[in-house]
Amino acid sequence: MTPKISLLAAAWLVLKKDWQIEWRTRARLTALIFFSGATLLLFSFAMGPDVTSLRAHAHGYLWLGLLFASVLSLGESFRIESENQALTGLVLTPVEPRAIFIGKVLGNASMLFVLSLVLLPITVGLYDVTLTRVPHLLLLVLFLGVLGISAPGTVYSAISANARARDVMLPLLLFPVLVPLLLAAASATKLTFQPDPQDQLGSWLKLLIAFDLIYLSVGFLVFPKIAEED
Amino acid sequence: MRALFAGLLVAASLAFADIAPFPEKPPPAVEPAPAIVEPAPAVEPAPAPAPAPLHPMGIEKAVGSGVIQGGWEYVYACYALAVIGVLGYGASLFVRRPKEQAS
Amino acid sequence: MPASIPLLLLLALAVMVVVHIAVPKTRTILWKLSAALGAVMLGLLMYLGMFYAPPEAFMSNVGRILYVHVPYIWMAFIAFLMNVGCAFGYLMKKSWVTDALAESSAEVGVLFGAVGVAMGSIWARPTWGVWWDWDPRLISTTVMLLSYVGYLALRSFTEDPERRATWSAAVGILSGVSLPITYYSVRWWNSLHQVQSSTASVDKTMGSVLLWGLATLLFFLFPFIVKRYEIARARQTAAMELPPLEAPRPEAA
Repeated sequence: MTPKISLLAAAWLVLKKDWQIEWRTRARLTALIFFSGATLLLFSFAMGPDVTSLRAHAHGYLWLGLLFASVLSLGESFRIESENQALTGLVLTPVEPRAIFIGKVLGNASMLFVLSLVLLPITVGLYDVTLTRVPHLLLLVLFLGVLGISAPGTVYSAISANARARDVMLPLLLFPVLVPLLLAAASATKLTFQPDPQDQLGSWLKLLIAFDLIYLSVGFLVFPKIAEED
Repeated sequence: MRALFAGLLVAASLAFADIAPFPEKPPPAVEPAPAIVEPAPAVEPAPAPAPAPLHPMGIEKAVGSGVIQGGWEYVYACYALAVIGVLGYGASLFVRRPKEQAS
Repeated sequence: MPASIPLLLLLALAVMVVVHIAVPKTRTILWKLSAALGAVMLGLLMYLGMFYAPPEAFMSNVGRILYVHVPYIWMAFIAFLMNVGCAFGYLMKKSWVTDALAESSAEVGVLFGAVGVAMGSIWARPTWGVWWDWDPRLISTTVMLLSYVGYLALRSFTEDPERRATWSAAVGILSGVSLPITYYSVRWWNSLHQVQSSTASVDKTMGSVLLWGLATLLFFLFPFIVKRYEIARARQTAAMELPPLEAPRPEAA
């Protein structure tokens, strides 16, 4: 009987593997940065040159940019597995599918987190927001938000990577589910860009945490069934 | 592991309960507060709108007819939709019915 | 009491559906009776809603839309609850019956939900002055409908029946989970929408007409679900020879 790798150790291996693949070419990250940077730019063109209004809505543009980029990023993360039947190979290893799930979620989340960090100076440049009010909370919001995108996103991208019309299927499935996350993350980000007189940031953070926990749990339960089908 | 995640699920639900607890008492009577309302006099014994028949229980003599006058075309539209929805979907199911009827 | 009415309706529906599926003799008669009863009650609902019920205190006669709008939306919720139940059921024990029922309840739910939202929008025009507004109930209902439209799209784009069943079960569960989350997260924005209509919050006459409307649509919901279920089962059978469902892959030792 081969020794079983612990769940977290296996997840770490999956994560490292994805980081290594990404680091070799950095293609995905570069593409994501250019795509979302262009998206933010387009928002500023479409909304017009009024800086006051841009500043007031910057939180929305940032999260929309991240959301659109996430569709690309999530799609890619399973496309690399579907080449050479890599996902089948992964599932056949003595590794629980749940470890694959955790590894993939963290991989996607870390990619989107790095992307969001790169987008911050662009946001400052285009929309003239203030990042220095509560920078630690801003980072926390960004992290919780991208984790919330990755949790259901990983489940849905595993499904749509093998479906027909996969490029349309992922956003079609993912966007309705992400509405509460978008709401909470954008509102929380607004409260880090602007003063928070009624101290609402805490409540939005709690909502983000709850969203993340729920989708991580549900994904954890459901992912093995999906992985079996491949 | 499952226990851990079940526990996390419970914790998450409690977080929600903290943010938005269930209301303690039953909701108050139906009384909407619309943002935009045509300005209308507060109380007046307005006559019923032209096409509306008199209420069989004679209620409008007591209740009056509210602030929003008329609007019967919206009511007709919705009730027509109600019937069309049911009939239309029933028809679509009929058209798609399986060809054989295994006994 | 009011909170339990949707659960009672769901239970009644579940019982009727189970009887239809499990007892072959009832399959020709039960749905016809239900549809006929529903049709008669619908005709009466027209009278009750438009004439018998009193004009609402503030909205006057426009408030009569309550008696069709609320039942439609509740039927959509009940159908989606059934879908989530079937999704869980399928993941616990694979069964083509559960899968077909899930497909059927999703489609019927989208129908009732879409019509209900259209009615709500028509109702909003004279009462709120706008066709649409962003408040908890509207946003979460939109999210729910979009999620299930995506569910139906996924089903129609997936050809392998077993994959389709598993994937839809997963999507159904995530969609079901999103509904309370969306509702709570939006709820504490200022809400324009009315407090939940229920029989406790409305006057007795209005309450009884509302119950009548709920019962009417329930008698339509049942035949729609079972007929759509039969269509789904026929398609499943036509698509393949129905080999036994694979046991889940054993864990590597």
